[in-house]
Amino acid sequence: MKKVQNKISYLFASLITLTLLVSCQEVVTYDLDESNKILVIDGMVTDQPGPYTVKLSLTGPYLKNAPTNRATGATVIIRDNAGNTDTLAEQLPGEYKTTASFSKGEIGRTYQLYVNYENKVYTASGEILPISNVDSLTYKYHEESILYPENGYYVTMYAQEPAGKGNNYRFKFIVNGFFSNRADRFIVVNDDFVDGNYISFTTPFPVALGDSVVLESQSFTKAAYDYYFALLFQMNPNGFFDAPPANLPTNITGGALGYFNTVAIKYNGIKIK
Amino acid sequence: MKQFLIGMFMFAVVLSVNAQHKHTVSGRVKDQKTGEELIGVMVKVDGQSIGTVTNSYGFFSLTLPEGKYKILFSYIGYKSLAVDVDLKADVVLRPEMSDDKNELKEVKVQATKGNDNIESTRMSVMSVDIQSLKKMPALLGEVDILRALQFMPGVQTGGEGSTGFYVRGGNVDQNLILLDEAIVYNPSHLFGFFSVFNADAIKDAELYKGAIPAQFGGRLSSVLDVKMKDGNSKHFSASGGIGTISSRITLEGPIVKEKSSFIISARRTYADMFLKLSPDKEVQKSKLYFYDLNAKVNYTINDNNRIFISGYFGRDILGFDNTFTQGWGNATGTLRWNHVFNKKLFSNVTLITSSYNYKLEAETEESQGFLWKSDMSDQTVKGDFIYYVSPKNTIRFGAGITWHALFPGKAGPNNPKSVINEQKLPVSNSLEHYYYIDNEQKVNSRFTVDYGIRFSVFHNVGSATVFTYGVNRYGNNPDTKDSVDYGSGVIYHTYTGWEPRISMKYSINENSSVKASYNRTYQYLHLVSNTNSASPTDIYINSSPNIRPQYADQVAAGYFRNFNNNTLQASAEVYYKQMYNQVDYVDNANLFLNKYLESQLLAGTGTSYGLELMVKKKTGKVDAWMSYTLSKADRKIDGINNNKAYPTRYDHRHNLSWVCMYEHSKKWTFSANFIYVTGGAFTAPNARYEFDGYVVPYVSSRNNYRMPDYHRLDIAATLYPKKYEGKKFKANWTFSLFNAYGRKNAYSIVFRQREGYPDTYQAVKTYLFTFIPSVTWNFKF
Repeated sequence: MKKVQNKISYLFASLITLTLLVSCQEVVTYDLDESNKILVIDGMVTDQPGPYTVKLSLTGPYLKNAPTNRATGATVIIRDNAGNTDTLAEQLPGEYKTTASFSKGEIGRTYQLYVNYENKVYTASGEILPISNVDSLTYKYHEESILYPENGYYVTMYAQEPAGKGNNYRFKFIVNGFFSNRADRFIVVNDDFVDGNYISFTTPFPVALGDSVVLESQSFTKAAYDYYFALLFQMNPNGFFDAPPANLPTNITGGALGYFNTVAIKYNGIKIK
Repeated sequence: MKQFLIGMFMFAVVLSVNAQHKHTVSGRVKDQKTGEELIGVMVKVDGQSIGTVTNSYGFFSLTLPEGKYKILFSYIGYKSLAVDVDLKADVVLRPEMSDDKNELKEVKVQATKGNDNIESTRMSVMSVDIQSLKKMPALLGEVDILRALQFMPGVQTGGEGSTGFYVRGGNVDQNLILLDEAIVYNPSHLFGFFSVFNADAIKDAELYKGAIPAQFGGRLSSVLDVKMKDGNSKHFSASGGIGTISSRITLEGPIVKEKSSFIISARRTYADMFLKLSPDKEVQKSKLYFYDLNAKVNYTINDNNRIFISGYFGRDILGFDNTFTQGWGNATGTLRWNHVFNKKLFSNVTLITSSYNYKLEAETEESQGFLWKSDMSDQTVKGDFIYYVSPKNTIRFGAGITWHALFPGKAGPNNPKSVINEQKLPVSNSLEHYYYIDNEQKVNSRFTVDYGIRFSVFHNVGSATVFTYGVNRYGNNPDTKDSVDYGSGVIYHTYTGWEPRISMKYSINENSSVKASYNRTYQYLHLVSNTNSASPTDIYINSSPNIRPQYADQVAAGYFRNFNNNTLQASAEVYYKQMYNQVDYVDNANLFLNKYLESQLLAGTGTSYGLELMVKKKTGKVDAWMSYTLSKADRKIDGINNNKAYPTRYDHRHNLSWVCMYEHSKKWTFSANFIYVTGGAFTAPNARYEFDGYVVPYVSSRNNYRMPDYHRLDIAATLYPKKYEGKKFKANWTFSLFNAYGRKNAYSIVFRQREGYPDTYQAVKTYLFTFIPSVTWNFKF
């Protein structure tokens, strides 16, 4: 259904911008004064072998198109409910990784994050939920049209959605080892509208002959889905029917931004021949 | 005993002399050329400060002691009329007033004295003068009531492309828009470029911004009461216009001369004809048009009974090839019966049906075919009575009942091969009824007070499921603690409201007066809109166990002063409005077909206050006015914006506008208007941060920034070719240029990734148009 929602937004945008001949868009400079710097925590524990990374950074001016500052020198600890605990090491400025002694993430376990930065404490927790299999991947050539923005091969995944609501997914289509952070490549779905159905999902962008496509499927909690879903909205404004910018529903206490996610992952691959 | 009898006899004589008989002079005032009843005509007794005003059906009634009187009728744009009456019994007059089009301007103004703005208790109300309206510059060839309203103080529009208007800090859903008493839900065509009111079919339009009379209710902030013409009952007449972007035609005439008449008005734009000329194949295949139709028939049974049937139907279509179509429209129907009892009691009983619907259909392939529909409809029965007790007291009372059916949305397959599952929001039904009584009392020659009370009741009617929500309100799956089902026809919740209304006027002298008013209004319907601009996808919801009704208290005070023998009218008005149970969405709300929609909303209070200044001049060849509004409107809702107050989207601190029409000669009339509005509030990010390879906006508070200021100048010239002078067939050419200096006023500003550069963010402004010229040929016979 989110795909339908996206399609509607896309169609609205293209319809209105195309038919209102006299409507135009132009880039403008805007005076946005920056707020005080706020800590951002970007952490993930998965059921794939580690190490797991927690990145700490700070907010920066919105229209300054440069990387934001890292938050260094913090104490970062991850604990699971099976008695394992690990103090992460800052390998790169602002990048804290679990050490070799921390055991691999397991489905069903709950993980807790503790961060102490500049004498302020931030915590979060989450459970790694199960993930179902993707049946298959196929590809097909399509000409440019309303649904297919360019000529090319479009990859489709097929899966049986397990019955029982509460499954949330993210699909990352990685092409030749590279995943683009373009807003229109960001895909999160939940099973609200398709629970128990045999579902299919097609990439919104084409790939070329000879490309290797790997589908990384992620499964996570409803709270994480809400965060990602809000992120998706914030990144896809089309100018006519957008929701205004708003802060994302973080699971971190203490006043930090970002999210501590606990994810189960599966990989499927296909080559375009 | 004899003395006692003489005493009794004397007493009886004295009694009979003092108990003078009173009789009523009444009737309907009509236009001499067309037979249209005139609304708001001043009816005065010469030499005395006694008078009244004709009501919405042109009816007046004055009860006076026996005697000889000269009754004066005066009305802007018409020659005054004096009728001698020897009142020995009830008298019915049928005065017909002729317009003063051929009179010199100076004579026109003196005839009407022009100080009705000083005399009447009415305050906070703007009358749209339809004749002046037609001289204003016309966007895309059409003069427009809603667009004219934006040049009046206290009224803001959301800028081009947005539907509706905002009055004194109230949202678009807080305006009661009536067309011949039927509610119009969406008064705009084509995203706000045109309104649904075809000026050729309209007789009168009044906007109440405050001091809302007790007969009106159901909306918090204003009443736009639009009355259609009844149709020329004397002879057949046609008028219309053919223009570069739209055309219209109005036919009216008698069915039975002077007893029954009809009027039909139709119009259509064909903006899409120009799209076919585009080199872009995609654009060539698009559809973009609206059409509307107004029709009315009336029949006068006798002096005391009259019947009217009127209807409106309009549709907007926006389409792209056959793959994507969006359509919406209003339809209204009204049946009214005027009945006059004993010349002092006027009544009107009305049956109304009104509906608004919206549809969106997309079919790129049969298997992906998708259809979304939503609609709402009202069925109403109401009765309104006016009892003209005496020249000092006019009592109004009435009651009504409405059945509301809201069908907020259903999305599903548009053909059997489509794989889309059906998703549906439940139908929401309610029953609303009200009772009111009001008295307009002339305490003395200087002081008049109008006081009344209205009582409204709202019932939620099943079948329905009511959810109770927990704290987590995000997305499609909020915490639902509980849900209760109610069967069909079951009344599962009731709200009531008492709405006192009072306004008063004190005349300092013939040239100036002060007025003050207080009113409380209730509204049981809420508009939910998550978008930066109003769109046809906005959702209306009923009050319910989770959403309390909105209500507001408004106080206003004003000073009205005329200068130079009433040729210059000025007013200054201040208001303060406190609105309760104002609904707003939570951050990142998901309103799209969300059956837990109520969980995405929180309620709080809204406060708005302001100063409105207006100056109007109507002499010689120049007709002009200028208005300025200084105002503030904000909200404070727990759970939103960290519980701190934030400005509403339509909070515009300054609003300055002027309109000027100059009759250069019999051949040429020029007009211009200008508007300057400081920007409304919107939410912009203060900072950015990086998450999982994405750049995410951070927002410090809601509506933290201002849009750029909006301003534009429109000019128009109307040519009246000499060859039509004195003829029955009249025509003119109107040339207009909308946005004469081509300012790119911002429609929206969004912050997003630069296409192809995921790490670069930009502020992108969308503007709708620069210059829009148009030429229209108008005719009338």
